[in-house]
Amino acid sequence: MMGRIQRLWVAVSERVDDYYIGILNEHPAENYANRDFYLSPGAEVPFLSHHIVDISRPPFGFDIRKVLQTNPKRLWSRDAQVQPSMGDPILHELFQLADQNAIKRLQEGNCRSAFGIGRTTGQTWTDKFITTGVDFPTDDEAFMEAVQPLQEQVRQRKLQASAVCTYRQLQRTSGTAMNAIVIFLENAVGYSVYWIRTYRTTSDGYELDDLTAQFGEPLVFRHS
Amino acid sequence: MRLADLNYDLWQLLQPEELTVDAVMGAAALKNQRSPAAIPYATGKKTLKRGEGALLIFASSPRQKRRRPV
Repeated sequence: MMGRIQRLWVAVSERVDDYYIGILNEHPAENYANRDFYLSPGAEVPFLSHHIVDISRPPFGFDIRKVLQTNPKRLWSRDAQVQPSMGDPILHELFQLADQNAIKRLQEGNCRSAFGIGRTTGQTWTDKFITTGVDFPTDDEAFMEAVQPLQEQVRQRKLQASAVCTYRQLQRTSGTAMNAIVIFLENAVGYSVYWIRTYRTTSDGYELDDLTAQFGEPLVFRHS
Repeated sequence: MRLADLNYDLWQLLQPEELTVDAVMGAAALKNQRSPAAIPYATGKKTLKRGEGALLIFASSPRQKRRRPV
């Protein structure tokens, strides 16, 4: 199956190193009703010079001034390593706790099947980062058995969000398998934030890479 | 900015299918897709300033069943 392409105009808001930051003012296509999809009006889009197709004829109704005067609705992290939470203080706290917890697990023993769960009321982390099994099997069935009660509380809005930290072996598109810490949060609306940090075994223990990917709704705990 | 450090194929692996790199970053334009006016900007001879508009191509992969990382 082929993918689709679409041409969209952005208003340039700033330049960071070699990258431009553009602000989108259009919705990409009809099937992007999925609220998780990052590209939406008001979203920041990083791009490089070789991405530029045209600069001369913005469409009728594309008011660059108006776009720039409106605060961007989805911010692209300028530094994914130090700002994984993209400004959400609760999320920031969670990532720190999860990171510490994950590293501790890695350093202290067999980490292949460990996971932890945190939860929040939306005000603070009520139970911080709760670990529920050092060597819990990570197959989906066992994992979901532990996670589902928490997800149910989220669905019932007793909790505003839940967070899960697990260790996964990821099969990359290149065919290489990599170990990674994966944290994802899920809020009452359904979707949240993924946080991925790869690591490898060394003679001294574990070597963790910088944050390699993080994506999702920036202010996940703002939802009521 | 650490965009260059992002492990893109790992990132794609874990995102909903629509969220390819090209969908977020903008796909590199082919020669015959680019307007003559954009060439100085695409080659770096000129730079866009705040308040100017740019047309980008976004590519998405087919919509499939939603996938979760766990």
